[in-house]
Amino acid sequence: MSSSTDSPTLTTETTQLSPQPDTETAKPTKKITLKSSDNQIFEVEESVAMEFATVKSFFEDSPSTDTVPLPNVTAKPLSQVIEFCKEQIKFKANPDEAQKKKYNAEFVTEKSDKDLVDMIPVANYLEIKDLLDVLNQAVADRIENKSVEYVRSFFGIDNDFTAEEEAALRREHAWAYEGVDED
Amino acid sequence: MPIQEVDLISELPDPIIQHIMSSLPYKDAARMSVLSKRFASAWTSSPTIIFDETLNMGSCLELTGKQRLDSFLSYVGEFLSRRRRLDVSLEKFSFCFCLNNSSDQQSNGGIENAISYAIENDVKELELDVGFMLEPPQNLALDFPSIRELRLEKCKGMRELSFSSQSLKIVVLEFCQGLEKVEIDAPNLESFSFGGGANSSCSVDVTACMSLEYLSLKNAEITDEWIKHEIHKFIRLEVFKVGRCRLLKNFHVSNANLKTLEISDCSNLQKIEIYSRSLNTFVYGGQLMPSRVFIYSPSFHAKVSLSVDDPLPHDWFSSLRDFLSCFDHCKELEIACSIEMALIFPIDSRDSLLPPLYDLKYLKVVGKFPAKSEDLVDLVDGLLWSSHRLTVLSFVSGNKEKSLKFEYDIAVAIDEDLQCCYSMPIKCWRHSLKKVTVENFDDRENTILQRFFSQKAIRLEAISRDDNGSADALAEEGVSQDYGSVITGNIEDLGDAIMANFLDVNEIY
Repeated sequence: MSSSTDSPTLTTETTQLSPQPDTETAKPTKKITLKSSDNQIFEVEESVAMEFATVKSFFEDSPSTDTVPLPNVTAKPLSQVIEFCKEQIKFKANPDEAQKKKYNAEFVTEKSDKDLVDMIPVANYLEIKDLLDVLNQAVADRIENKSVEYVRSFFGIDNDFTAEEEAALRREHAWAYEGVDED
Repeated sequence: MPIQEVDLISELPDPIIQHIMSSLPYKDAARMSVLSKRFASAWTSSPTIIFDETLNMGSCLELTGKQRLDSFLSYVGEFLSRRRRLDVSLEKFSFCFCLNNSSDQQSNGGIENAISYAIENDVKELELDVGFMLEPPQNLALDFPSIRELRLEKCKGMRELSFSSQSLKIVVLEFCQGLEKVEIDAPNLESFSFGGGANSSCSVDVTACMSLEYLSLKNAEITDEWIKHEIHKFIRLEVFKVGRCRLLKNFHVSNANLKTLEISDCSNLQKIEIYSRSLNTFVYGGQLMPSRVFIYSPSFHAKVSLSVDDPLPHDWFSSLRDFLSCFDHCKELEIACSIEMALIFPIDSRDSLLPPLYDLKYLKVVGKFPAKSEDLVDLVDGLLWSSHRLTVLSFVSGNKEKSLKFEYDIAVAIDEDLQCCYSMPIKCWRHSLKKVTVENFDDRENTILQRFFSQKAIRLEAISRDDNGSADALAEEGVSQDYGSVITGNIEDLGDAIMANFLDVNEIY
């Protein structure tokens, strides 16, 4: 785990503040700063940041820091992940399973294929289990009944099989190729 | 042009890739194993294994008998031999192959190998739908140290089966022919379902499973005494279902925690007594046998599904009356009947019988909707006789629901109002119905219902129509201000074609 010696270097870097509308709370709450790999700064409420297990344990290890560097995470998926977690906090305060389900469904439907796939490593890195469940199911729904070629393109996977190896695998799994959609 | 230019997924750890795979139908997940070497290895080491002949694994579908089994088992064998080289954990193992004739017996080794692979690897969830046959029939005593979930379907040749396990949470036994006795000693078991074949006579002992929350027994040899003296000991039991248990006559259950109770097709049942303050759903299905049903619970929904032969038995209506009156105090009664018209008490019997459902507020009728308009009116009329203080009467057919909502002015019923209800302590709906809202009926039915209520209800002030639950009523009609049928007369002249005009009529009163 990174130590607090990382933090002084951060102050020298350029910062872009992303707009954070303060919606409901009147009392000032503690903010935590997250910095993406492309040096964007996100200020989020402590309660939101604590949804990220990785950030949480970072604070437990070095409580004095106020900026958390996220070297593996770029700004766009991070902002979407933050958006998701903000909503989840509201559901934690006011449990409404039906509304939550509805929100989660809308959250993924409006995202592009690329956005969804981009968020998975972020959710995994930040250890946000709920989001990971939602994303994995959404991705699965989008590749269900699709051909191997389509799914390779969907994830950007390079085929590292030789033609013979692939043919052998396809023969063995012949049962899995019935009734696949046209791309 | 790929959708994704950088491969982010292949960088992720196996559990994530396997999670995506497990969110897919098994067949799609198998296809993903051809994506790349990374995915092939994630597939081979997946924590879930399903072998299912109906998925045509090993191209076995065109084959029959022993050839089919061999082809299927060679797929199974190859898969497992590749996996045996890996050190991976197994969560779920499911094996489905229907062995239906005895010549298949010789190949049982392959099946046994597969099953023992699962057990050796500490599988948590084991599902066997094999129709395996033990020859000669045997008494099995199994001890599973790690299995959480066990499903055995169509497995023949077990005479007595006993399990003991600390880890078992879910056990399902379905159609295991020849089984005579099941005994389970699993203190952490939460859910147990037993379904015997039609002529099975299998006794079931789960008394040691004190954590049971869900218990379903179909075609099991259980007795009145067992239910009376044992069920209350399952202090966490929430759902209890019994079906086709022929030994049951006087069903007496008491359990403070029970929320759902379902009784279906227990052909000798005469009396049902339920003591459960938490009960919220009671389901009954079958013949109209039990004449006495006592449910001691403050607030529950009842769902009743009755089967009756045509022609109706001569005492049908008096038994139906007695039976229904047991549900007078429930929050909502949902009723289905194999012959819908059997729910309409004949007009000549209404004088000699008391309406069964005095206090009922919500009645839901499930089934085919009457096609003929006369039948619709008869049905509504009959149901309102049975339960004449309804707030909502709805008809559910498929996923469609049509409903009638009522408001009453109970204070005004006068003896001389109508020919009916002389000397009755409580007057029927016709005296006090004030307002009706008709929801989601089609135009023709709507016209018929409007006419019916206008004629029948003498104090009706308004009928409104409300479709798709939208709040704004399309029409409000003032009628029957002075017992009169002036407007009623008009309504009778209106056909479908001028419904639109009808709907524009403004409030008159």
